[in-house]
Amino acid sequence: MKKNIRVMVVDDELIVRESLSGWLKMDGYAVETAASAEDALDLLKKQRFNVMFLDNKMPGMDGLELLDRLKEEEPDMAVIMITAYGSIDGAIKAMKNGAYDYLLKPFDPNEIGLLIQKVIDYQGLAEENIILKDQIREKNRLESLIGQSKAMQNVFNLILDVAEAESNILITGETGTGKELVAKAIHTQSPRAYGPFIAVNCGAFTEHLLESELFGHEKGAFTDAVFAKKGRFELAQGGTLFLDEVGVISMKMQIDLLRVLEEKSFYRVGGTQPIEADFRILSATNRELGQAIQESIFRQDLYYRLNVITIHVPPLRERKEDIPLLANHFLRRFAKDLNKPFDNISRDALDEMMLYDWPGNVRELENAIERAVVVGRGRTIQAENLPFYKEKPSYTPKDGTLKEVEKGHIIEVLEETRWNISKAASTLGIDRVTLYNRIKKYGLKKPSDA
Amino acid sequence: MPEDNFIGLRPYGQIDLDILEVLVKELRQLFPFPIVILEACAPPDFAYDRGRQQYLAKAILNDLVKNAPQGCKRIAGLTDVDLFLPILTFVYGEAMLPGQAAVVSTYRLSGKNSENPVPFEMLAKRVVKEVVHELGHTFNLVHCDNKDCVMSFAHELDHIDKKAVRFCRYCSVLFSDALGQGL
Ligand SMILES: Nc1ncnc2c1ncn2[C@@H]1O[C@H](COP(=O)(O)OP(=O)(O)OP(=O)(O)O)[C@@H](O)[C@H]1O
Ligand SMILES: [Zn+2]
Ligand SMILES: [Zn+2]
Repeated sequence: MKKNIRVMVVDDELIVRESLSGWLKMDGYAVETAASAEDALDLLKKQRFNVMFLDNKMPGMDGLELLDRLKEEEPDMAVIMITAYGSIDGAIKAMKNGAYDYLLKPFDPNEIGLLIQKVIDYQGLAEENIILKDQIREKNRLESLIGQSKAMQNVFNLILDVAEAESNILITGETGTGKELVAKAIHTQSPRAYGPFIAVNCGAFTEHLLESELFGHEKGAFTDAVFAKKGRFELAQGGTLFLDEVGVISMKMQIDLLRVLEEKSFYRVGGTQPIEADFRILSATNRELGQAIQESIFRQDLYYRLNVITIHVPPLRERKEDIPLLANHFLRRFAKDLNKPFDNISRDALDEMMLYDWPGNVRELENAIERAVVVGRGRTIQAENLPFYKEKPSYTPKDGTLKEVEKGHIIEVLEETRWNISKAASTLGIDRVTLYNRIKKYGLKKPSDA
Repeated sequence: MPEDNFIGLRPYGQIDLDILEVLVKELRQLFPFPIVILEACAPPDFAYDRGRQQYLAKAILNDLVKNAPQGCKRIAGLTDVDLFLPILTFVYGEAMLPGQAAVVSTYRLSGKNSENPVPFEMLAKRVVKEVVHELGHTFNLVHCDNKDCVMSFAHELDHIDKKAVRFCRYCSVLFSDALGQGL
């Protein structure tokens, strides 16, 4: 069923407890009730809850006091204050003190559902994954690698299994699937975690540049070598060297690399002193090396050296369950980075994401969310904000007259602000009177709310 | 009562007979029980809340159970007054989860509270969907995420109009589970 989500209703009024918990049960949540803050704390000792509806005013310990304690003891639980009309001040104080939101008694039935959905999305609790959440938190130690799909859980387990050993690992997977993150996670979990993690994108260098990039060079080794320079091999001493796009390196470089691996030492370009190669090599490829080996483009002996163990990272389209979690993760990050109030992804937008194939995998998803946060308005990512969203016929005809465009834009903003005239006016950068006049001029009508 | 193990429909006050007839016909398609129209009661004044100027749905559920005839497996009340739960601004209907009674109001479904009263056909369909939905709750079904399913929670009339009269595949299975458990 949709919800392994545990909700607690804390209110001294029986009738509120009963009707709210009754409704929540009908909506499929697991609900417990408590008649006082003290009872609530007792219940919390026995089990975890994802959401709490908390009455502001209660005899004994009141809502605000309980909220204070919960902040310490249950930081992950979303607390929604239940407030009567007269006591909005208390609710606002509660919001400042870390309540997730508040509801005015009586609630619009739609509000509760939407609010919980928001909490779920926000907490990344999407559908039947509560049980996995603890595990995910565990996996989060793996360098913010996120994924709740079976496929990713397997990857996480492999990472933990191979991290200890010194063996070289080949990470395969399409572009943007997170191969570098996997490499970092292995590094972080390994005994070399205190050493450096040095990444080289082999595809980004010409053969000559890649050589000096990896091996370093002595002063005067070639014309441009005005100074001596340490290569990435040296920088990676004591740590991990990550060779991204290893499949594209030249035959000559393959031979050099093989030698480093066999002799566990190397020379700077133009150097005469052997340097010990004390690093573990993790490499990644987004193309099948088997084919390249058959065609003798890639050396089989090097392949065996690099590929003691393979970790395959599946493409995003094969683990769509991860999309909501990843999307919300990126949303939070970009909202924070860009200082925008986004905290929610609309159902439609999520549906679009679930339907899309993501040829660029997680990187493409990351970019899509970033763009949506940049271009979007309000707190909710809408489907239209997604780069791959196919325009349904909209109010703004591309070749429309200025009037039509203006009308369309006003309609859009009004809908976004749910016809909150002040907000809409401020978004549009006009005053309210002007907006009213425009609404009249274009004959716009607020859709009746059922 | 001639029959046993039936679903009773209880009108509170004036409920259009044509609607009741449509209901009987549609419910027969979905529930493997006889559908019986019970004697009408007076409007549910006992449930009136002065402060809210609405009617407390829970009170009507209790009244339905108290006055249910023998052999009545489920009883669904129908009324034209505006229903509420203490915590909610209004409800189209309410039910016991699981339990014997459900109630549905035509007040908002008919659009009489707004400027756009709806034609009979449309109202009848809405009432059928809401009664099926609330009866679904009495068989322990909870809200379904499938928006087309009759068990999806519809707040907007629009959504009620869009959703089907049927249980989705998933809810059908849960419904037969409930029957199998003797609910
Ligand atoms: N499981 C994940 N959780 C969180 N972020 C992820 C995950 N997978 C990928 N990312 C993010 O997606 C982006 C692409 O990941 P990464 O660079 O590791 O992919 P890659 O497979 O190495 O790509 P390429 O083959 O093009 O080099 C990064 O910004 C990374 O942080
Ligand atoms: Zn319902
Ligand atoms: Zn269903």
